[in-house]
Amino acid sequence: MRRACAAALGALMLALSGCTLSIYNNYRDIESLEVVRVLGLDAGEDGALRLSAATGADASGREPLRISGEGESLEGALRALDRLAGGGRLFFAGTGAIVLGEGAAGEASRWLDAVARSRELRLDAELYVLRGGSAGELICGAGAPEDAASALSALASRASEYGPAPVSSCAGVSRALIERGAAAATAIRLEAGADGGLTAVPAGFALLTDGGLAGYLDGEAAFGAGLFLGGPGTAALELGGGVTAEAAGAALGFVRLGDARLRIDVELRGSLAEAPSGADLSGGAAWAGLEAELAALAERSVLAAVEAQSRLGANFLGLARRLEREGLDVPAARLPELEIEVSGRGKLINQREYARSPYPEEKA
Amino acid sequence: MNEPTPRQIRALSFLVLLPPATRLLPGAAARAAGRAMWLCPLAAAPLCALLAAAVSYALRSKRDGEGLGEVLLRAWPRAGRALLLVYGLWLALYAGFAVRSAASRFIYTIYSGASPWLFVAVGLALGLAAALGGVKRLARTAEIFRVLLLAALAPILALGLFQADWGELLPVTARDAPGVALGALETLGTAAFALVNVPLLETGPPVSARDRGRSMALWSCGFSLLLAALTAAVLGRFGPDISAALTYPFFALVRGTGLFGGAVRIEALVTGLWVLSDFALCALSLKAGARCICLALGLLQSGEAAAKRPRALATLACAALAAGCALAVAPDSRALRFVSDTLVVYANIALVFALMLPALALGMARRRI
Repeated sequence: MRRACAAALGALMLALSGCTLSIYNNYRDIESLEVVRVLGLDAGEDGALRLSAATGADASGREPLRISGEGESLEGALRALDRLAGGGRLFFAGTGAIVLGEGAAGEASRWLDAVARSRELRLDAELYVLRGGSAGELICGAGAPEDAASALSALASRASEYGPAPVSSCAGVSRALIERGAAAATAIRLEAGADGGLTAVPAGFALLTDGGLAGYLDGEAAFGAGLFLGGPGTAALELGGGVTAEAAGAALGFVRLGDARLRIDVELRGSLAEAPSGADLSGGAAWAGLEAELAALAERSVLAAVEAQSRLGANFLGLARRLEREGLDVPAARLPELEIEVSGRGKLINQREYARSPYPEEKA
Repeated sequence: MNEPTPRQIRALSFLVLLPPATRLLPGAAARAAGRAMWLCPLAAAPLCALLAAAVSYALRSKRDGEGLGEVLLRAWPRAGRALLLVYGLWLALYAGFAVRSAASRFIYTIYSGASPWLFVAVGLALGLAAALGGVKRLARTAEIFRVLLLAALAPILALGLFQADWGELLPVTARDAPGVALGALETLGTAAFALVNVPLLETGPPVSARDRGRSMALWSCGFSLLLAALTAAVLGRFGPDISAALTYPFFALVRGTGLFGGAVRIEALVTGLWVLSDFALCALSLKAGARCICLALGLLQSGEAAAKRPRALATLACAALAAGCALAVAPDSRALRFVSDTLVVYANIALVFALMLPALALGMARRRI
């Protein structure tokens, strides 16, 4: 009798396996799933949201699906997109990258909050801000990359490897926005790629604040900010005179100089990667000269990032927390009053492949 | 041998602690201690170890076939009955809360918008079926389930710690001490449930207080370390502010953990496996509650084999009470959060530290146990 009851109960359990619509309310046929990999958010009219989505290329060779729609909210726009998917069902839980167009970046807090609450989206998706354009152009535009997901994935690998800093996730940007009211998100821009179509390339950092998009960081300022944000990877450092070094790490230190001054010590390490043919860099003086150039670059970059922070009033570098970690008790409110100076140090740790070039020096 | 072994008791304790700890602790610790939240389980570890040692000491006088309830009755033949009745009712209500809370987690993580009642009904039915069986069967099941849950927990923990921003964990200063203490109290309140209620069913042959005390204290420290690592992974991903705001920070971490750049999600697998610990928690609460009620009403003769019929009736009564509790305890998620984060934690603390432990301590002082 017991065994019969157990068998009957076991058979009943089969009804709970998720294969029936009556119990499992989000059941989806795997054959009809279109797994969205990239999502683009653009500001629509009257506070609406224009959403673009692209799936990735799959093993069957099926072309990525690209689709766009509009809604008053993120949830509404996601449903609107799904309605346009025809026979397929859009599956947003696999979204690995979210791109904010410039308009949507102005409301970054609103959209990040919506992502955090979303049933479908995840905070570990990478976040990008598209400079001077709409995310729709990257995902669904006429010259858009065939596979936007792969393009962004490659870009993320390059950002991590070559600097200025690894791409932040929505969680990372949310954390910074909530904690210090400002965050630096990876900025990208559309440029003509190898296949003649558009592709996404790194374009410094977008500075997101409670009040919207505060501005962008480029060049040395972006490099300097990258040193605070997990960079610089193996960035190529063009030092002038035909000499290029490859970054090999950086370290930041903080020294309080009285009540109103702070010194940031930055050490930039590099390996010599390229020099003019025939150059002789074996002597101590040449080595010291290159290190001085590295130091100057580090100093200029960090100073540019700090100045941008003061100018824009956006604490995206997280200095207050850094100082707290170093045991320097400076309240965040007092930071703008501090006079900050930067002291750079360069360290050449290696040179490829030789110190003295065996090639003949080029005649001018 | 029809009674659970010490190893099985530890497995059962692990299973019983996992749902409340993962549901409650990262968020509660973040609200209490902010950035120092990961220290809360570590601060609670010595207290949990002391509690485990104290219970072990009280159990030294138990006989074969007896649990903590019988020890309490020997110390306080009359007042002990009242206390066991309170415990029995509390455990029955807790079983209802546990299945309602598990339903809420399912709705939050996977079945958005679904009604909780189906989950509650299935959870209670399975818990009741297990509670009607022998404790040995439940304990053996716990051993198997523990392996599965550890296998699910390991990748979440490894990926969570690997992807964490370690800078979020520091600095921690002396100013965080009051917050850490409050978070440690909440950890203790959660852990106390398992450390005191699992021994109600610990009816195996007596083990020396020293051996049991040592193994359970070590187990408590190990579990606290695991919780500290989980809390650190949550903090490293979300920071203190988001962690404090999220309903279930640990499950948000699970949702946000993907392999191969987010392409492969493991949330459904992990959430699905968590039902095993919900099942163990519900079954243990019903079974321990029924045993307490039977002891309180004198339906079980201490040290003798339990009478099947009164035990089954008490279990059914506990299940009915649990169903009523599940229906009434939380009309919405806000109420459930209050019950989960405040009411249950402090009720656990009050029952353990204001009733059970003083009763046992006084009984030992009077040399009755």
